[in-house]
Amino acid sequence: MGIIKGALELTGRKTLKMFADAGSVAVMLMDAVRMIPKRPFRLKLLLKQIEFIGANSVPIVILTGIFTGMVFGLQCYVGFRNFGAESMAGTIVALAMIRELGPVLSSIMVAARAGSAMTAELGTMKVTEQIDALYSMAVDPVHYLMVPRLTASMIAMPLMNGICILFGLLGGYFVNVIVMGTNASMYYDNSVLYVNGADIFNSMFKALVFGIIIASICCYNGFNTKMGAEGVGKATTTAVVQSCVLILMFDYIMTSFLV
Amino acid sequence: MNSGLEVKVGIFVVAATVIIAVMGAVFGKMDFSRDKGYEIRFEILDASGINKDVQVFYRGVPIGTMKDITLEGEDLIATLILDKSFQIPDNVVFTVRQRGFVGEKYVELVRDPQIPAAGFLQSGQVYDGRQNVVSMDAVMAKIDKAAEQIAILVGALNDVFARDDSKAALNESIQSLRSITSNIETLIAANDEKFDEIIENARSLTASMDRIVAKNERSVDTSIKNIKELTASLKNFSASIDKLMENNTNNIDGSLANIKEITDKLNVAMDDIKSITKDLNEGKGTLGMLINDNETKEEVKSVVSNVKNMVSRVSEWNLDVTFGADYLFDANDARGYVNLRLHTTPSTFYLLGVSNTPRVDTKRTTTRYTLVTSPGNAGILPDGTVAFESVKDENKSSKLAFNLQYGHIFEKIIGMRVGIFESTLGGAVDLYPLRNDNLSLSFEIYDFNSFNSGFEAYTRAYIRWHFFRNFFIQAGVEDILNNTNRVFALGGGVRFVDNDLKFLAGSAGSAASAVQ
Repeated sequence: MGIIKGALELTGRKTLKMFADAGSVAVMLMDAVRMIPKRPFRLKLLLKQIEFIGANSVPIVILTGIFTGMVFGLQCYVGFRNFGAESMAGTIVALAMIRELGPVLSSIMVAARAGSAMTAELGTMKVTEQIDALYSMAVDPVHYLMVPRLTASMIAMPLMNGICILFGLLGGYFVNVIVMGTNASMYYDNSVLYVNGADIFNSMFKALVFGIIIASICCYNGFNTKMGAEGVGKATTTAVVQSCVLILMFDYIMTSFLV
Repeated sequence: MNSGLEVKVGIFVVAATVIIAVMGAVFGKMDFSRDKGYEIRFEILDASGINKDVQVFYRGVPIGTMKDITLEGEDLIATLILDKSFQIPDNVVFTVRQRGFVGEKYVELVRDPQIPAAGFLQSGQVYDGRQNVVSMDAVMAKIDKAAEQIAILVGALNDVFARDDSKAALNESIQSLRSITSNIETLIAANDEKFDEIIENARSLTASMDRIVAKNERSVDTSIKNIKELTASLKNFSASIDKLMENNTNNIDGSLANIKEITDKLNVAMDDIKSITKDLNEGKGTLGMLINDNETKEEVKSVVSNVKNMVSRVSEWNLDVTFGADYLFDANDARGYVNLRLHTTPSTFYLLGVSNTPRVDTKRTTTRYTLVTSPGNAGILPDGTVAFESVKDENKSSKLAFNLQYGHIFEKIIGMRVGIFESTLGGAVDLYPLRNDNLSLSFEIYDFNSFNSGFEAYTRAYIRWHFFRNFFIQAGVEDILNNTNRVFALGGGVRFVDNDLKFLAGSAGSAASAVQ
């Protein structure tokens, strides 16, 4: 009886915490969004965050995109070869990279690289009471720390998505046309034929949402870090895991609305 | 503010924005050209499956897109934007097609062979699409109809077989069939081997017949034809014989007597021949000994073999004939020549020719005169005679001269000739810079007894270029070593090679036959 009660208590506690966390994240996000147009505009901090989240993540996003495109192109080629429709591989690579793989993979890479660093930085500030110091100086930590990160993520993520898609398409083109010898014109025509401008727009919108998720989750976990250095590690892991799961969840939700 | 940071972020933002913009333009199929093409409107019957922006093809070439589909009153109007670079004939039919069974639909403008084109589609005009509504939907509708018919048929069959008497009849039929099958099986089992044998024989016979027929199909046809012709000829011949017999009964009797006499004589002759043949076989007489002697046989074989070899080598010979003329500028004279060049091997040849040599030969005639006079006078020899010489130089030119030379070409680039040059002994060196005889440089030296101004040889150098296949021009210097007689020469000619000569010979033969 005691075990069952304990298990139910644990489940209830975790569920309540999950909703509490979700609510806290939402409240914090709303605060940050409300503070975006408020002065002072810390442009330097914004640029620094764009550099950190965006520019410095370009190499890893390029690598992710190009190899994803290559392996996807190869698998599609092998699959379509059974039907003599190798040139259709271009269509699938283009559709997949633009609609799903580009935004999801670039966001996960950014979450793993920049989001974890973001949580660790904020968590360290929290456990060393630097955030409390900001309060004592009448500086809103959300405005000072979260707004530049959120804005930078919202700006950088669609751009990273664009880069990821481009290199994914190039990777698929390389494998299919250069390596496998598919007709270049047919590959290109089929790639363009079934993709339209709305797909690009939806993809960028997804990346924007994923950027908001990354910034919100990572900042929230950073601000709520406890128990010293160990807590920083835990918060970082939690932030990355939650970001990735939420990215995939929201990807499905948005896709079901956008399709 | 850190300017490096700003530049880095600026590059990142601009580059990524450009990438997104380009992708948007490419995948959004944005057309930035001012030239949007020309607008054509088709009145169509059915727009199912097609919508705005579908591609328009003409004979498989994408020529534009569907701009809009509008319903104007009862008229369904499809507006197409066609590329200005395409002129489409106005007898096209607006056709909706589908890529594969599940592919997307598109518009194809198909020429109607029944109606001649009066011109090209003009911008802004409304054309009757004469749409052939054979879409996939229509096909599916037909399939639906066919399914309905099948359902009716199945229902009717159900009605037939649902009755008891039908069922009983069907059962009876099935029983009968079963019984027949059983009997056949028994029969086959009993005669299994025989059946196999018969089938095998039949197969073998059929195969043989096939082979024979295939092999002799043409022969059989020809034979039948020949037999028909032969029968007809025999019929005619029989009629002629009958007539002849009627008219010449007496003559035939005489002829038969003559034939008998000739036959007797032939018998005697055959006996003689038999006797001679017997003697030959036994080696009697000179001819018999020769025929029966093995050594003679071997020699005859050897001779035949040698003749064969010689004929084979001769067949590899090549002959070319050159007709040419050179004009000698300072001498106001010309040289004409005909040379036959026989190549016994690719590198060896014999040259036989004749030419009118313009070479100025000076023949010096020295005559010794002796006068008899009285001794003691000046210049008188002790024996009382006086001797003096009269020298007479005689110039000779334009005489007919012969060439007979042996030549050899080394490594296709340099050739040597020795022999008779214009009826005098001489030699020549030929250089073939292109490793063929299209271009040649020749130097000839001959007539070593010439008295031309103290040089005792006639030398000439010339360059010859063959253009086309049969023609050549040549230019050179004659009598190079002689300052006074040295002249420049320019000429040309025609050369017939072996194949030309064979062709000419063949044509001449044909012409002669035709004349005859």
